[in-house]
Amino acid sequence: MVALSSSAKTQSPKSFLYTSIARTHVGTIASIVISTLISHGKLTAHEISNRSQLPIKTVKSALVSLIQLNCIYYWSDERKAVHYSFNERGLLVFVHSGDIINCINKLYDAESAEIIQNIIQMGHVRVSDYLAQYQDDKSEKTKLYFEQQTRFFKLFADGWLQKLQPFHYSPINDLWSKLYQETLKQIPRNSTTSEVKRVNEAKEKTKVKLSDMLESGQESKDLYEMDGGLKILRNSLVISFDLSRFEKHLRSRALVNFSKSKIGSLTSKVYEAALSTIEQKTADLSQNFLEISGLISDPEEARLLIHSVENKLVDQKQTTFQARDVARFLDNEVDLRNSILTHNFLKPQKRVNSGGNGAQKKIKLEDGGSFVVKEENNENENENEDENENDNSFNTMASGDSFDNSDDKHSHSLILSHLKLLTSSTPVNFLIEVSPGVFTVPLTSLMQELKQHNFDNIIKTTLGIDAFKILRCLRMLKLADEKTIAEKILLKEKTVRNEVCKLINLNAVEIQEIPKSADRAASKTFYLFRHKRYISYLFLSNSLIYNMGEILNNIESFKSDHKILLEKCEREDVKGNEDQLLLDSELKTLRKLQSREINNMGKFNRLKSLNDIFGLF
Amino acid sequence: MLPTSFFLLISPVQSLTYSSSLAPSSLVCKMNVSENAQKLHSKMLEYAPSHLFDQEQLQEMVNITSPVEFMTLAQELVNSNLVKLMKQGDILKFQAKAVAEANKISAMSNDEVMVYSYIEASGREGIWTKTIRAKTNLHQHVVLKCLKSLESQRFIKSIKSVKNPTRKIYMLYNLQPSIEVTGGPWFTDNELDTEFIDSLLTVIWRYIASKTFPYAFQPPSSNVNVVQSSYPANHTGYVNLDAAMEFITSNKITNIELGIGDIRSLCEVLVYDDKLELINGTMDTYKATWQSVLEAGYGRSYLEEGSKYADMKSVFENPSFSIFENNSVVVQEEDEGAEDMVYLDSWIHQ
Repeated sequence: MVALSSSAKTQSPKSFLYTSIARTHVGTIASIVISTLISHGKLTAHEISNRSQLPIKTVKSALVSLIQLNCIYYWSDERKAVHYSFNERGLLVFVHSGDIINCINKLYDAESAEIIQNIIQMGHVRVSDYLAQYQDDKSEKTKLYFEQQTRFFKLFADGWLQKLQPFHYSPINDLWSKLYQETLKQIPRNSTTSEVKRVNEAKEKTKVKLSDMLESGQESKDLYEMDGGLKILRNSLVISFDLSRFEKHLRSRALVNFSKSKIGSLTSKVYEAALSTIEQKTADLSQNFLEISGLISDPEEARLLIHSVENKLVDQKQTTFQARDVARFLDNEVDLRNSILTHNFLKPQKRVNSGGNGAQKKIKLEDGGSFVVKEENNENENENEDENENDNSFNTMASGDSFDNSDDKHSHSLILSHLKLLTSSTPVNFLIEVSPGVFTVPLTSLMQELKQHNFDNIIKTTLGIDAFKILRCLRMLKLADEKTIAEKILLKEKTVRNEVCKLINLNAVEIQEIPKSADRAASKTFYLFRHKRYISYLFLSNSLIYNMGEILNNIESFKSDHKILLEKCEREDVKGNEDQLLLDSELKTLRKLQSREINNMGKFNRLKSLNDIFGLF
Repeated sequence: MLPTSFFLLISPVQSLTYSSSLAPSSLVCKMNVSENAQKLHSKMLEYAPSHLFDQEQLQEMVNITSPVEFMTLAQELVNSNLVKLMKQGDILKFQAKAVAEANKISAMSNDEVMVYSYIEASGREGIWTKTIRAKTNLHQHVVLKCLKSLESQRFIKSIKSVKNPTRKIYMLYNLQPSIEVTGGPWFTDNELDTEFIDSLLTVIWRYIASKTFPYAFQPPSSNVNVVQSSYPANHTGYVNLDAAMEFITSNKITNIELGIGDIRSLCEVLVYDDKLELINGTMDTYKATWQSVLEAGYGRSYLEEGSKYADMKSVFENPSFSIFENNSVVVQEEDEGAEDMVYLDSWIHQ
């Protein structure tokens, strides 16, 4: 019996999570191979076999399924030796799998979710192979066939599926170095150009080549074909799930939640619709050039690259939108009426009810009857006077728009005012107005705010409100001692000291020592505190990943405690007849196990969504 | 120009330090000074107690032209503690002292006078016993004896400083300790009054929140959307420090005097608490955060079964997990034991 070595757990939290999830989804052998590859980097099949003490045949069969599932990269060098390395993206799809299927089910339908689920399970699939199951005995296409074909087309067009290409199986660093070496050879050495210039020229040329290669095969003729006047996906196309598309969705979700807490539910719904208009077109969360080791080492250069990609998309109007675009994506359930307070809010109810019809006044007649007169003009005059008198009154809109609160629950002026709220009502700019009425999302700068607020709230919910205050105060002060913090947040010094200690334990705050004597005596030394984002976020992300691994192991362990019962349920004769063949106590245990698993998976997904913010974005 | 003879003027403390021939009994009270001296003293008292006179001014007051004659008069007043000598730059100045004060000093021993003078000079800040000892060059026992005697006569009092709680600090009995010593309005009996601060924080937050989200504190009406009703982005009617100050004073929230700086500190604490935020482009105008209103419980009653807004659940509730909605309750299975718990710090404690 082979077992996963303990180093899989201890070498890094990521290793713990990935080996745990590989064990539950692909099996113990696969998890051992993954653990070996995480420890040693790039290895041949023989080397894996040597280091993991597994027979070469087993290693090879494990490698096949792992490559099929996009969990392993392979690369053959000049001597035709094949090297395998670990591909995190494949296992990340497993980590997100539940969430992905749920999301597709919500955005499309159950059948689309089923397609995605099957593709995730198989790694990749040829369109014709998948659709073949919907042909009848005579290989005639059924109605379901065409429906599924349309679903494939829709999912592909929306970016959830991607065309699988040979370079998807190769590590980007190897692809780069191969192309680079080729390019470098083509640029001759001569006395007039320096070596630095030659290398830089080769780098620039390789960048273009690599980009061309990664973008190749995406032309319409490579992807689509016409079938009876209908544009469909090419049947010969091999497709896989595109994780980077889902990451963009996760980012939008996190931003919507953030805006909900900052501004409100309705504005967050408008923001959600606004993000859906541009989500697919935004830049990927990870840039290929940044992943190539040694290519961009200057942080400033990396920042410029990210900004240039974002700005280019804005310039091409790919990631800009207007109020009318948002209206198309807005959920019908969302009712924006009365959500922006106008001057009417501050007035007595009867005037609001009277609306645009003007006030009505009864005049008694001499014969005892009465008639009603409308006082439209007078009323308007009164309103104007009231506005001038009342200091609290305000103009409805600077642009002069008025809110038609009674008719259209998605009116453009209402959507526009919600977009304006997102632009300037809080210190966080969720949107930027690039030109009048045209908005874009400043994703790069928003990510910092998003991380910061999520981090603060995790501290608030775990360490309490005092630690939360201290952390925010410390961020404002940059560097401070406990006395200054205590004065600023009006807390007792003793409380501050205790809370700072807790924050230090969670790596949210670090200490700077200022020695006052030559021997650096602790009694005379002065200590200052500061908060460093990168270190804190990294530590938190690692802790969360470790927790996720723990939950998976916990599920595994309580399932193995009831192994006999669970195996019994899997038997063909028992399946479907559990009520008759199982004892009451066994049924009770089964139910308990199921609810325990669901609870734990719930926890796992909550941790995952927290880690997405610090790990992915 | 000061006549050279003025350098002969000797203040009582100096004289006591350097000349032992002057016994305490030789110090005279006002009754014993000459008529001219009395006249000069009463004229000096017409000014503010802190007023400093120079020689020419005093000579004009009593119409004395001869410096020698004036010197005698001044020496007489100095001897009887009715005038205090001070140096401002290089110029000698005179300060009048009340008769009662003079009598008080006259009744003290020489050591006590010396200690008293340093305590008096420290003003509202007070002076630490160790500093008195260092400045007077007296033995600790003597200083302690003097302090005890002065304290028993209610000439001085001992206070506690917020900054240095272990030090014994003395100041004149009739003075109020300064803010630096007492710690300002936030300290009661030298302890940070957290209850007082918390209640003020709540009051200010509630006031600013009612101005930011007026509908959130009223029963729902037909002209607002219960899910969210916000002021437009260009709204300007938010609360500034002056308005918050006015609210606190006009409603007599506290009988402790608060300054605009104190209100600013409170607002800053609320900003750290993420309950308030500064309006973009302003220095002193605040609005409440929506999160703080949600945490105070807004909207929860609308989701309860039977509420007429219960059908809005889909807009209120979030299908995805968000750390910002931590007020929602997770129902734990009763029989779910501790073995299913995960701890955030388990990675470092593995």
